Amino acid sequence: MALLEINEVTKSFGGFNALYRVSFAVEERRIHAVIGPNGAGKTTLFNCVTGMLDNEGGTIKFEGHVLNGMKPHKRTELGIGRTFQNIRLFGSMTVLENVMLGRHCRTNAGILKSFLRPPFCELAEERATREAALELLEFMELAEKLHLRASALPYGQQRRLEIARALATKPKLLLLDEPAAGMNQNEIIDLDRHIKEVCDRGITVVLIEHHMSLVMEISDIVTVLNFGEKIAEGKPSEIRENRQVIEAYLGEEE
Amino acid sequence: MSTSMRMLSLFIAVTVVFGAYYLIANLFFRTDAYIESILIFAAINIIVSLSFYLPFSAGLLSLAQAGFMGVGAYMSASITTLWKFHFTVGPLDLTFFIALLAGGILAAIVGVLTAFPALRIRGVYLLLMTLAISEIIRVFFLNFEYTGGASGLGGIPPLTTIWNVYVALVLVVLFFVRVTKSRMGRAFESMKEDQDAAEVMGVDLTRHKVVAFAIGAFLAGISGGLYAHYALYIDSTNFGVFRSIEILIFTLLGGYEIYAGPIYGGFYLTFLPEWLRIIQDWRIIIFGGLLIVMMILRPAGLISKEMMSLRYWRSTLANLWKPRVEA
Ligand SMILES: Nc1ncnc2c1ncn2[C@@H]1O[C@H](COP(=O)(O)OP(=O)(O)O)[C@@H](O)[C@H]1O
Ligand SMILES: [Mg+2]
Repeated sequence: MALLEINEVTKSFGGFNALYRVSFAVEERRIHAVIGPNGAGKTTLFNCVTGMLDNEGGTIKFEGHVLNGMKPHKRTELGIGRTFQNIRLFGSMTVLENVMLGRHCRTNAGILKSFLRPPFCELAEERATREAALELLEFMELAEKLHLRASALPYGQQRRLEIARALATKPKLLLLDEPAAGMNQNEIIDLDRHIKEVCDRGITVVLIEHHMSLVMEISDIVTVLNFGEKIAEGKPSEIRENRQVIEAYLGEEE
Repeated sequence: MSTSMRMLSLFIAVTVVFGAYYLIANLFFRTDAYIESILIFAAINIIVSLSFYLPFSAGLLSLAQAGFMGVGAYMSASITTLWKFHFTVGPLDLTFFIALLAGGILAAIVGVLTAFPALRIRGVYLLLMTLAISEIIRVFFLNFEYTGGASGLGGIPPLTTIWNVYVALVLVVLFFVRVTKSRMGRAFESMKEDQDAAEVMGVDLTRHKVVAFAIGAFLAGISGGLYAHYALYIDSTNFGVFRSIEILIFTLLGGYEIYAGPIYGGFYLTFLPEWLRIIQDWRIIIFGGLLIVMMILRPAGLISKEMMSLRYWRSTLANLWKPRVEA
């Protein structure tokens, strides 16, 4: 059984089909790229998987659970994490707090418990949350920025922080929406390494990306969307040769 | 840091030190009935401002706090005045404690009932809905003969003292100090920043909104009980729209990024009209004017989040007299 099964998913906005009968499966422990021109429906697909939008037709299954109609936070609990193309960090919170927030659904201290704790004594759960967050920040190479406001970080680091925050939710499936957008060449090389390390941790990655060198280098399988429809799927080498994909998206040279 | 920012910080530091001195002097070394009454009203105003701040810190703008305050006031006054309830354990008289708690709990229940329709709406619609709920509560008490209806409820025993009101305030502030830096505090802040992103990160919006409304209403209910047993007479006009707006202004002027804002705003905006007697009758107009000036000069209110660190004050005060500090 595939980890994520997308079956005939359709989503329209006022009669315009952003997604039309899209089907594909994401196998466990893969890096699965989703590519296609702007407006192809890639982000809409992520929104349907995470529950920010409800798909009109078709079903989405995660580990066999049907996701249709399930609230976003429940899907996060099941193990779906994501980043946002238009960075959506909690800007007034610190870098550390952003990542600690990601742990919310894996912890359960309520308001009274936090209020009534003994003086000068941190809750064990809170300490564990901080340590897990620090580990992830170390991993994403943001440990020096701990106490800065998230909004004060440069762009590339904000993208890395998005990944750290998503990892804090302990996902089995991580959806990355254009993580390299706005990054320079060195940052992209680091990102490449980070994504592979995430995969080594046993996390399945779905990657939306426009940087073809990155996509071709790290992905196991590529799905191509165009005008809301899937037009091709295969190994990177096959996709590179695919006529339809070249015409719709990749262009002739390369 | 700009010069005006340093001057503002200095102003805040001086007023805080002066306010703390004034409070301690009047608590321990002097007893002036008039000043004591202002200090008591200041504490009640701070508690109700914090009751507004709690749901606000989760991104929920509620103008129903005056209504919740009324629920707490009428409930606790019913217990002590209409039902003449007494409860003592040995030498301890817990009557007032239980009356306050009952007022807070009933207000919290009304708060939860308010939260459910509020779950689906946002922004200005939420503001209008909570305003409507506040008015419904006021009109209910206006017509509810059992608690005095239009003629109000008098003869309430004077159970609020400067001591119990400040103990309550210290507990409420401690609550905010602890909860702000906790799992739930982070969840509230993330909801205020971007509620959809928070939900995708695993925050159950429904549950957290209900909790924020309930605790906010509980605190408003407590402040209402304290108010009733100090004013000794309440009627529905005490808990109308203007009260709600006043509460909103305390927070907007004091600062809404951090709980210290409503504390500062609630304290000084209770004193300001007393110090400047002429503005008493013009209170709402002066506050409104201040609000407009603030919105232009310092939109997030006087106290900002960065001011909550010792480092901020050390560097500000150390650099106070340097003509210009480069970043
Ligand atoms: N919330 C929305 N409301 C209306 N139209 C939308 C919305 N989200 C996306 N769209 C439209 O759906 C199409 C696909 O968008 P999107 O999924 O963001 O594309 P991609 O991520 O592949 O660039 C675009 O034409 C976009 O304008
Ligand atoms: Mg997109």
